[in-house]
Amino acid sequence: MNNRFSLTALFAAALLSFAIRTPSAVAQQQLPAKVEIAWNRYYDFSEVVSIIARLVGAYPNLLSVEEIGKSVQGRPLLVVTLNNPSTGSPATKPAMWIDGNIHGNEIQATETVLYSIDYLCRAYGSVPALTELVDQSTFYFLASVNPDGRANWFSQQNNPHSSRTGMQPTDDDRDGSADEDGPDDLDGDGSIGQMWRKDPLGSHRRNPRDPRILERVSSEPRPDGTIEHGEWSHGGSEGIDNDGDGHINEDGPGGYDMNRNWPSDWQPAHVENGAGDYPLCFPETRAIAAWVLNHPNIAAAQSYHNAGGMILRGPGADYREVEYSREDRATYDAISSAGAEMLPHYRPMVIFKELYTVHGGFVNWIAESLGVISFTNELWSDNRILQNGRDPTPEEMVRWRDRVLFGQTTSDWKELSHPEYGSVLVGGGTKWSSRIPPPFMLEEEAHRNFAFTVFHAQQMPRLRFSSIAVECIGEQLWQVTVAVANDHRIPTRTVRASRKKIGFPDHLTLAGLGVTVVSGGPMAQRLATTFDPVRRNPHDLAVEVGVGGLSTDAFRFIVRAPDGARATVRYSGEKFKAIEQTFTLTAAK
Amino acid sequence: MPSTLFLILMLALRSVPTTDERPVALTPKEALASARALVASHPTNAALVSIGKSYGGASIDVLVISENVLNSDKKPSVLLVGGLDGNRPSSVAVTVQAAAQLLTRAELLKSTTFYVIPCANPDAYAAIGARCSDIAGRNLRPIDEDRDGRIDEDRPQDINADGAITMMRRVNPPADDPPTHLPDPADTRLMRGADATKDLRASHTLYIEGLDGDQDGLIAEDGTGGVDIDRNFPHRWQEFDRTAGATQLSEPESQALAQFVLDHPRIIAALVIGRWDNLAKTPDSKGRDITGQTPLMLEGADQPAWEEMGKRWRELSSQSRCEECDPSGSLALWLYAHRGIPTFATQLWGRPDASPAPAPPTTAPPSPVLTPADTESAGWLQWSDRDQAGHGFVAWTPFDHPTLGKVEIGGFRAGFRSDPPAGEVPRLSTAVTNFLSELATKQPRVAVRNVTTSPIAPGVFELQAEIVNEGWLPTSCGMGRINKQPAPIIVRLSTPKNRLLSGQRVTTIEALAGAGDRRSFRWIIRALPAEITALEVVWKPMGTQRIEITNETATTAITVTP
Repeated sequence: MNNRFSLTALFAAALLSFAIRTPSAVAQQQLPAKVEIAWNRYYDFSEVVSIIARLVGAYPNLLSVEEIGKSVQGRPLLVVTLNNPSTGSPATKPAMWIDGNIHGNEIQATETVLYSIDYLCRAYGSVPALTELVDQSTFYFLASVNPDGRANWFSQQNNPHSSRTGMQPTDDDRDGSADEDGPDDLDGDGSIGQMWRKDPLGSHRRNPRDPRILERVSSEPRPDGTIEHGEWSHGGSEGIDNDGDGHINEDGPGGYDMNRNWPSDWQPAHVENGAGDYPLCFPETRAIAAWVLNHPNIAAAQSYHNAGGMILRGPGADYREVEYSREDRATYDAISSAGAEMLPHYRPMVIFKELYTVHGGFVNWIAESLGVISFTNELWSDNRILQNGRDPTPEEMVRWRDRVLFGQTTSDWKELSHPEYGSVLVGGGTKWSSRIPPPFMLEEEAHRNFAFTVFHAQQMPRLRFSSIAVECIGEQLWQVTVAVANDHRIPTRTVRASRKKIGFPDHLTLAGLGVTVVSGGPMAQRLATTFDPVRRNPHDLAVEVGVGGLSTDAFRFIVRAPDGARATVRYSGEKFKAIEQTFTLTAAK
Repeated sequence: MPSTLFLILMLALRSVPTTDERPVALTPKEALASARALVASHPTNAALVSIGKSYGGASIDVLVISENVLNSDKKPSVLLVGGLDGNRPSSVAVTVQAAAQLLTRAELLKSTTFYVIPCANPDAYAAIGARCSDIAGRNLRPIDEDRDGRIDEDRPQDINADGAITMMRRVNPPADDPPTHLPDPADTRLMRGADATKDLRASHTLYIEGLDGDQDGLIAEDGTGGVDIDRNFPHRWQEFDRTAGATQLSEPESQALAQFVLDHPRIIAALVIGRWDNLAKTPDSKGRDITGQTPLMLEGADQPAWEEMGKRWRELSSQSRCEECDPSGSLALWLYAHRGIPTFATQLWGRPDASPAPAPPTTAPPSPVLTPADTESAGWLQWSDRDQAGHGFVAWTPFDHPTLGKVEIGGFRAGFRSDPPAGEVPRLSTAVTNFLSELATKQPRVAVRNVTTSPIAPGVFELQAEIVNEGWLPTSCGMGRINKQPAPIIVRLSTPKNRLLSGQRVTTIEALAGAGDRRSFRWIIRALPAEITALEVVWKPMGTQRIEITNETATTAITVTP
């Protein structure tokens, strides 16, 4: 079973699959493609693997793929690295991590990641802005964090909200058996719909104009004092009491949430439902965490979800807001407000404040434990249906489904006999009916979000020496003032990273033949007249706070060297390309 | 058989001179050897199972003590963990001896399996002579404590070759290293903090004994290892404390221990010997963590039972003192707060009372009695002076330090304040055995009682039953009722839903408190002629109890399937 997803086999399969590829839309700016991929459709996990193999096969100079672990059911976790080796190895550049689909049902996250790989590869060499970005950065893509949940969502009867979990059998109802009472497709339409019980005192009735709509009857008494009743009451998701315990659908496949399983502010299940037995207890989360911890060059991160049109940042819990410093919040805000403009119907939001409390979320871990500026985009919003700034009413929704989608995402109500409920109506929206764009809108969704991650990646730190001033202050004695500029918005070390001493500090070194550094240290600010000398090792300054975003920091060395000696300064750190410059110590102008 | 026991006792008691010149307990290797000897002589009742390896590659073993090791996992179980804290090497010997003693208690083994982990953190003992007490719980994972890119390059060292890594004190340090302490006027061997109100001014700086190996101005700040296994568990894990690990359960040792516990759902209680103690003094149950939903140390509902068990431990062990300790990230805290297992923790060895001071010569003028700032340290020093021939404390001795200049080296020997003298090991082992035995005796026992049937109408009868906890411990403690990790009791009836006129086919009892707490059930059943109605009561630690009711009246005996 474990060899089912062997990469070699997949590459072979990918080569054969050219014969059956679907015709694709051409990207907006008519970029030539080495691999034709349709971005107006969704892909099952095996197709995702095949697309990755085809892309890596078509762009071998830019792309590589590695299996960093396996899911519970043995599917591969495939990280695609996008890097131009002629400008340096991946580890020497700032990297952006982009993943999706940690919730198995949030499927368009994966297409968005794949689209990003495809677009960057196509654009490389012909779109200067993206060529430059690729040359200066590394991208790590994990298209599906939860391949089992995705495979289950595609292949099994589901609804838009089910198969969020991974597929490790879990005893949700604590009766000693795992996954023994999931939903059932009673009407055989391939989808898990809703059930309405026939009930003379029902809370709902069928809309007389359009009986597909079940509407709530008024709970207010009529003018004559009588009370109105409908014929139907809600019976939950389609299913029966498989294990005979009196409950319906209370122990379906899996039953946990991998986006509650990360180390930062992880809390056990009695505090955070679905958190897992302990942080990183699932093979998927454990493998990814180990890999991410091993790649300290990650300087930006995006984790795609659905739905709601949100650009989310941490923290997930109110008591952690104090851990986001004013400076870091300004960095988040600058990026997310640009995103709000690029993504109509999306809003920048703080998870705990405007969504709900999350303990142990992935972006929280990246932001709070690793000190990396990271967002979660909640892809798709019902606002995009009418595009007038609000969600459709139930009637408008039915018209959209009828007239634009031609009824393809709804299943007509059927009256069935249910073993526990008696007569029930079964039907409603299929798993394709909400949370995801209809295929014809997928490419726009993917492109705009991709563009936002490009903007985010373009903010990763980029350094240069803005000036190196040499002054002779005595016999063979020099004062060297070095200004390091970061032209991008993300600092080399976030305040979070420097306060919590995450990773290693940046280093500024000065060295040269016959050159002795007798003192050195940071200057309080760029135009200061003195500096703060370190006590030891002045030739190698550890810079804990790094260089801020869009700012210039200055350092000063007192150096003993003969006139005309050559010296080299080098500024290096974990999350940017190191810079180096050689200059001459001389009084001559 | 007696010869094996004798061998083990001899191994545990044998006296080997080490750096601190005290008899040492079993090393992990010796513990394993004596555990193997136990297994060899008790093939039916004892087995040794490796559950993982330490970072340094040493096996972590569980000694299974059971009536029959072939089905040991079918019984309620009690867990004993030793060898977690490098400052408590005797805990290894104590757990192995306790295992040997449990093997002699056949009656106890009928009801209970014991899992004994003699050495949960073998790496902590790998280089015991080369460590000071500050880093005693760490495994061998290389950690760059000072983030200078070099690993373990500035270790604590016995630089004056007196056989112990102790402390260094420097009087009148220079401007870049301001003084923090002064010799306590009550006993100038002890160091204390400054006190402005008493005009006690700092005059000394204190360092761990060592050099500035990496010449960064800090002394012994990057020593051997590692992650402290007992700070690597999830409850109140201290992120960014480098000795607590990169993530919760990041270490192979803590992973192995956690997985063992998760794989053995019949564990109903645990005793952990380590840095925390909740028996000598019952912890406060008022504090809650930052979520407000998990206690810091103890849930209020559990306090009375913990107080009672603490009292029993103090009676059994004569230990009533413990050192203050923040149990954040400890194994014991995780077992309790996240798994809901009644977990007792002991430091095993608290400060003994020193003998009375010898009477001063009557001619001497009475000296003024000063109170030391740290009475606990002063008490240890007294006990060392009067009862241990002074070997607990290395007298301050002048030394010329290469970077600090003139210093004095001295202080308490590592382990002196945490590990008992070898002579105490047999007594403490017996106390541990008796405590475990008490836990086993007090375990929850779910019983089905007062099963009655009475006909109501032709073909219809009423069935009543009581589910009783006849043990002393609750089936799920107060913490377990919050985190819902301990198994509930499931009561199941075979009658199909359409012939069950009243009552539930499946009922979950979250918990029964100890000492006779009960839940009554009543069902009205429409039975077919000669139909067998089965009532099943499932509680994971004990298994399934089944009663068959035939012809509305006859009740067959209870059968138990573990």
